[in-house]
Amino acid sequence: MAAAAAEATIDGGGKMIILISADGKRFEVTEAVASQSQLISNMIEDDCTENGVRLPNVDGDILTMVVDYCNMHAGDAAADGDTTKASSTEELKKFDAELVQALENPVLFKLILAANFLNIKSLLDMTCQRVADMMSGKTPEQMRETFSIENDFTPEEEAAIRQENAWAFDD
Amino acid sequence: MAGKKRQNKRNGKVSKPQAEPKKVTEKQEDLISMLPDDIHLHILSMCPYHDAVRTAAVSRRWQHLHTRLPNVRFRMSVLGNLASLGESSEPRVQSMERMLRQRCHDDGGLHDTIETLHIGYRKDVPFECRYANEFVALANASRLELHVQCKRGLPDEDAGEWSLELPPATTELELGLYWYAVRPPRVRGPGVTSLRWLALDGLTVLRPSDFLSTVVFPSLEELHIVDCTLPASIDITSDTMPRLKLLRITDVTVMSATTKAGIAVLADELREIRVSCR
Repeated sequence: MAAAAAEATIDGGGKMIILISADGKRFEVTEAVASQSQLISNMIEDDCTENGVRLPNVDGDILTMVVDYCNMHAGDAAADGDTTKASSTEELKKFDAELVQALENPVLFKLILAANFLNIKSLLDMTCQRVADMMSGKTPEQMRETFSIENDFTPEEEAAIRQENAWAFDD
Repeated sequence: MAGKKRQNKRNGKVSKPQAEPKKVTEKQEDLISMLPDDIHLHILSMCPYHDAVRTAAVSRRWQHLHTRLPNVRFRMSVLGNLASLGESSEPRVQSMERMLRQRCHDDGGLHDTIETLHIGYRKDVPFECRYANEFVALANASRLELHVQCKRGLPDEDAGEWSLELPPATTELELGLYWYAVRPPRVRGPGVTSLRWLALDGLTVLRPSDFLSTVVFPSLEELHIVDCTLPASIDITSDTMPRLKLLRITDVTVMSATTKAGIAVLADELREIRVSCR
């Protein structure tokens, strides 16, 4: 027990866990990194991570990004005083901003789905905020264009909706 | 030189679309519409409310999503420091009413509850006041935020008496009364008994006869008084607020240099009082 605790402080996370993506790629991460996912955290508690955690709806390239994100953020969830391990807040902010800015549509939505499935709240909030920023201030036409959404209204239906909610369209 | 530079920029802009046909051949999928509803709602709740409502016209998938957002914000018309920011328009406010009415009535009470209703309007525009009252009743929100403005220079700096009927679900009330002429309302209705949190903010003149010292709020636990102006002393006591635990007074001023006024506090259950001034 004491030995395990000591080990945990030395390598910053204790036991290792294998995550397996939909396309069979394997990622080895510490428990501390993996448990930022509420889903995996629950599995760790239930002792069912022995043979690796299969994530059938997360592709390898997306899981790479998720693991990178969790590695960077492992510090803020762990001990506050551990300055050697924890990335500085500034560094983290920069990492997050660069990550989220670089995301293009298909990857952004796959990452949202992965964050939602794995239940990583901070990553979900960050990626959803990016979409919200992309929507804000846009007309319906611009929103459709930005996200490749097909307009399935007839012109009359669309006019009626605009009329109904006129106040939201006039500024 | 400047001309050339500009042209280069233009060229730069023109060259961009060349890269795009590649993407189109990959057939851009509409991935956003495939996300589950709760993620859509999470995203929409991060947008300004009127942007979220505009998504109704994007496609069928989006048409009704905004009616499930817990927080509703209407801005009827707003005054800037010196001039009006946008005209008051009754047709515009009517379209807010249609939307709210549809959300709150059409599905026989099965609609998603409105948690916060925020209305910004002007006390000196009668139709805005009328609709604001109606919205408050319709939404029956648990948190109510009324930001009330008024034009300058009304006779006696008085925009007139008014009442606020608190609906049964309301437990939190933020009253922003941003000009001296906007009087504190007579507060009444079923929400008075359930109100737990109250903030009174703005330059409004707070008299001993106002609701704060005369109406009994049996459940009120937290009271914030910010920026208000006192012409005479007021009382805050257990007689009207028997459950008051936290009182915060920030930047409260008196009417004139010769005004002698204070706030007398006599509350049995009070645990914390914070007073601060700029």
